[in-house]
Amino acid sequence: MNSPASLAPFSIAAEAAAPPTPVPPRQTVADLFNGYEQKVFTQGNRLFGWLLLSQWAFAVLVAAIWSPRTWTGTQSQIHPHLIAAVFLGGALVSLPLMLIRWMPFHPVTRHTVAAAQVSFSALLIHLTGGRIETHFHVFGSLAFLAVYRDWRVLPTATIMVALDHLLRGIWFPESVYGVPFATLWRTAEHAGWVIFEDVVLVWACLLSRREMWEICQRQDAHQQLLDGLEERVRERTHALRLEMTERERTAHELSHAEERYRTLVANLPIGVFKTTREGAVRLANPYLLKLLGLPENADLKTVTTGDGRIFPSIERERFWARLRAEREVRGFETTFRKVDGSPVDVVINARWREEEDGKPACEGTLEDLTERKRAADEVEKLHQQLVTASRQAGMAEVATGVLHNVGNVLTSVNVTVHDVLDRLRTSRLSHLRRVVEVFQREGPQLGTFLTDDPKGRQLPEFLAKLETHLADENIRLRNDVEGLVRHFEHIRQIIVTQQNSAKLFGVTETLPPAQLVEDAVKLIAPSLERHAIALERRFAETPLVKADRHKVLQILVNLMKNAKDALLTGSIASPTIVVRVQRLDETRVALSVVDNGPGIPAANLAKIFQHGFTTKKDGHGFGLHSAVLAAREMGGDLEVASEGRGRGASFTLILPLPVAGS
Amino acid sequence: MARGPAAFPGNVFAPTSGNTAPDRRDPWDPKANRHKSPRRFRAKIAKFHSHRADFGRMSRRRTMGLGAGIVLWLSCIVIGFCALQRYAAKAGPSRPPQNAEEFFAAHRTSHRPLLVMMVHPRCPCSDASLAELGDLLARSHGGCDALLLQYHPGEDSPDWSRDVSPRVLGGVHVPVVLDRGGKLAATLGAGTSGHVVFADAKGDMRFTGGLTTSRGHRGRAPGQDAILEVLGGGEPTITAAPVYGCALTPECAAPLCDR
Repeated sequence: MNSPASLAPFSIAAEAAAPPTPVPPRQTVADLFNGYEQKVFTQGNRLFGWLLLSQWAFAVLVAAIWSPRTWTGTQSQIHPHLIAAVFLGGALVSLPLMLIRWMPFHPVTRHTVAAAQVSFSALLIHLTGGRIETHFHVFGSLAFLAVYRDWRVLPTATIMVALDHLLRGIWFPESVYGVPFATLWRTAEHAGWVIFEDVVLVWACLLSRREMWEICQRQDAHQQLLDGLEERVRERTHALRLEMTERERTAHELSHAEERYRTLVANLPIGVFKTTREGAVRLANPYLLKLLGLPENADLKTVTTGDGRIFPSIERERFWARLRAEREVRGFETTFRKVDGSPVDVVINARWREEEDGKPACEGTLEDLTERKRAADEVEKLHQQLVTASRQAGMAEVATGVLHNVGNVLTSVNVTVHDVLDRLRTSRLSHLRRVVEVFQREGPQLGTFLTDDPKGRQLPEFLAKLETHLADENIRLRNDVEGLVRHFEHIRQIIVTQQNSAKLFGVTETLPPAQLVEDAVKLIAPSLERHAIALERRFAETPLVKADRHKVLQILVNLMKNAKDALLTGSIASPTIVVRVQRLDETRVALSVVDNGPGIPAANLAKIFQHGFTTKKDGHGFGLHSAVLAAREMGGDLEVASEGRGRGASFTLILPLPVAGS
Repeated sequence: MARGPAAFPGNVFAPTSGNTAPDRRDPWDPKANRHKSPRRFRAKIAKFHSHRADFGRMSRRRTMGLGAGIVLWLSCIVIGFCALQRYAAKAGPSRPPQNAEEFFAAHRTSHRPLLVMMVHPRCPCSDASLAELGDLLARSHGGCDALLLQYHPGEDSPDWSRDVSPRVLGGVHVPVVLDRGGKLAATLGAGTSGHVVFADAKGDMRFTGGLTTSRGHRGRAPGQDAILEVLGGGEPTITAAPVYGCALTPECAAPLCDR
């Protein structure tokens, strides 16, 4: 579980991820009017609450001052006016105050207030002895009631006043009109003046309410505008929060990235620097400082590359010249001097930069070439060893082929020699010797013997047969000798070919590719004939190629020998090797060796040129590897293709055409 | 009764209730309602007010309780005012004069009518009576003399006023005489503060009674007209009238003293 401290950076993110606060539904015009009206009612209630209490207190005060006690001679008692002021006035304010407290917006409250207010007029008129001046309280009360802006309370008050005058006019006219007798017209006259004021007040109330409605409409319009603005502000705030979150996250990631960058730069096995044209070092990681023989915490202000001690001036000028021209320098090899003066070979990769003030500077990497050079030397040495081994292997291969061919020829020679020897052993020359001995023995009687003696008579026929036999034997011997001569010539040709190949090793020549293939075929052809493998040539017209003759023969012989071995491993109906020469494009010629053998699995195609990979029981996995290396040394390549098992294989040696004008 | 904004019937002008959009038309705007007839417009206003009244939100029991409270309240007010009015309209006691001619002979200037008012100096009702006396003297245009008999309990009541300086009523300097123990009032047959006795130029008593129509209330009473009629040389419509004020002596409060 994350600690609060770990959660702190993401608190804003969590807040920002939360959706914006839902907007409460906007009030309608009627809602606004209702609120406005309630506010007016509240103000009216507050006014009349205090007004009723004040009037009550005033009534008590008036009664206490003007008529505190009633007298009978020297005896007195509390005046009924004071009792009425206390209790009747209290009754008048009681219900309105309760309704204002519990039902402030109910119309009954306002009507009750109106009734109480005009009742206070009657009470005060009575308490003041029916003073005509107190009658103005009625008109003042009606005007006060207009504070509610509810015209309906005015009729209520008017009705109360009218009823009071009507009843008093009937039963106690002197209490309201000051005369013992009054007609209904007197009541109507009083009510008329009240109604006169009511008309004005009702009109004012309606006008005021209409203005209230218009104000609410304007407020609604303003509210809509404000809502729109608020919504925009809310959306913008949300977007800003998201943006702040994104920035925080970016800053967090940037901080991590910077930390990783610093760690990486500090631990890089390569020098990282930034320096000005004048040589002031702005940045140098520990590896670079260590490479220059400086402590890792060295003050960079004390290090400079402009005095020629670390970076030789000539090399430095050359570097900056190239950097100014190319804006990016890669592989600039030079030799630095450590603090102790010892040289160190380095390679610089740098880019042109400008400082904030526009001065030229550069930043890049600096690698120590010491180890790399040593590794390169070792690689070169290994390569030379590899080439030598390859050459030796190739020579061995060629020698093996040559010896093999020579051996084959010698086998034929041996057979021929034995054949000649057998012929010579079984020669009929002994018969000729016996005939000679007969002639020598019969000397003088030779004629007789030839004519008379039965044996002598058979002798001529014998001689004829002997002569035929010897002649035939002579022909055979001569043929054998001629064969021997051919075999020896063949051997000589093989040796001459090998000598020609060896003589031109390592020399790049411009050669006809078809001739190269023919030379290779000569070396391998006897072997193919012996194993009844057909060889098919498909030579197209091609220009001369630029190649090392020996290497090409070595590669082709290797390829054809591999093809032969592949054909011998399977029971191929008609084993055939096709050698093909064709031009690929304007710059390359392809020499292909194609067989219809068992083919190469796809899995082996990718690693068939790897060193040590072989599918032969007695193979070493070196032939194709050295072949591809040799091909690439000549600027060409060696490619393999096979459509799978039983579909044969194709090896193509690609050789470059000489560049025009070279 | 507090109502939230949602309770306001903002959609009273809408044809249907529910989730329909509120009608923003002003019910007082004739332009917005010109397509409506005045009757329908008034009905809409009434409906609007009836919704605002929000009677429907009160329970029947509460409505009935509110109605009962209002009725009770109105009843209390009516009863209170009726009692107050009844008190104001209750006339004070009177008694027959014992020796009025002797009093007039002693206090009346020759051939001059005399108007005598008995007042209780601490009775609040006396102010209205004195004010009406001033009006009467002003309207008489000096046609008669006036005299105030100010009640005084006696020598054993030093805190009662003994000021007998004349008082100006209706532009007339009216002399004041202390009526110790109410004896002079008894001589004139008065038992209530504000009682007036009027004698013509011959010394005959032509009117006795009050000048107000109720206790403490000013107002032209029939007694004033009767006196003015006598001063005009005519016959008064009435010769006696009820007096509204405090009793001058405790004895006058007894039933014997009542008129």
